[in-house]
Amino acid sequence: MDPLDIDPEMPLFGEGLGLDSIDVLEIALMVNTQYGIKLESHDDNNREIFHSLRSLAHHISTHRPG
Amino acid sequence: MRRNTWLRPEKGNPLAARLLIWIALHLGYRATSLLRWPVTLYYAAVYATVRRASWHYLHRLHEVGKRPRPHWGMVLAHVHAYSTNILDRIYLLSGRFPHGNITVSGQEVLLEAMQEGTGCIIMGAHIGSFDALRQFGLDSSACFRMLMYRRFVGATSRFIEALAPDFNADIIELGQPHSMLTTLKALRNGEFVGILADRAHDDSRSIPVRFLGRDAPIPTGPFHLAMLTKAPVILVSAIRQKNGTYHIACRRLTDTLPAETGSATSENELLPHMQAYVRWMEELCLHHPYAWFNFFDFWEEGL
Repeated sequence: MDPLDIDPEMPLFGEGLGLDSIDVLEIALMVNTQYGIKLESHDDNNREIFHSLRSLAHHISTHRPG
Repeated sequence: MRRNTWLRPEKGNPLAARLLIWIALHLGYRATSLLRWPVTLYYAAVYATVRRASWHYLHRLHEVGKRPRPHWGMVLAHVHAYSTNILDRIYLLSGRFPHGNITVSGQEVLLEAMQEGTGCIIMGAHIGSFDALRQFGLDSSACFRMLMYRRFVGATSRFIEALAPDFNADIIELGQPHSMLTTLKALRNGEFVGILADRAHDDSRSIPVRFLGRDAPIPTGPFHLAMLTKAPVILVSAIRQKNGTYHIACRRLTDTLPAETGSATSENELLPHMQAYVRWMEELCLHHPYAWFNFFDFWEEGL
């Protein structure tokens, strides 16, 4: 899949891009290393944060330290 | 389209299950033991898939050259081992199974893993008793959680699991977006997380691994999880012995699965660890041929 083909509004999990729980873990660990943002399991907003690429990008840009 | 059958609602008759539980709890172990053959004959007579899956598996064991040619007596012995497992579940889950009747070997690998402070993945298979394993986990000093699919649990299991009021409390449900984040947190807290890693399901990624002479789809998820979290993996089996006790054996899978955080993991990196896991399953099957409880088309060759 070409990265440019990804619709930023497309659901990441299940239908849509078809990511699974392991992918969510991989993304969470990557976001942590790359941006120093911890994505925790007890965060009630997880479903919203991981909804689409756009929501994830929004979360990262608003929670970036410094 | 994959045709894995184990995710369908499981087999069993709810009325028979209730009756069995009542008898087990009121008439004692000895009387209940007498029911094992009637239950076996019922299962074997009513469920063709169970008979065929057993035959297929016994045939595979024979083909790798270690066991006799299968005959119907062996299929019955196999189903009988499963009936025994179900009856023992009632005692294990209701807390009536004597703790002294569970022996353990290799627990030092668990203690070592605990000291590493990275949590620990307890990997099992549908070979032997899951509930003896769970009992062992609950008795240990570490906090123990189990990763499970709960969507397709049938009436029989629900009745039996109701005997342990806290059964659901220790479960992390698979198939949710945050399942693995919850698991990561548990591991970071130093908890033990159990997973039965032998069944691939329709949506999960799997790769073919040679098991008893033929390729079978083995899920990559559990191994990927180990690689990402860097948690050590301990293989644990709970096998019923001839005298009715359970023996639990622990063994380190391989050294911690190496991975650079941030780098995409490829299936090639996971394969050696999956092969080591499958070798362990083969050893268990060769030593305890009737402890195999995957009564479905495991190799996806058609039954």
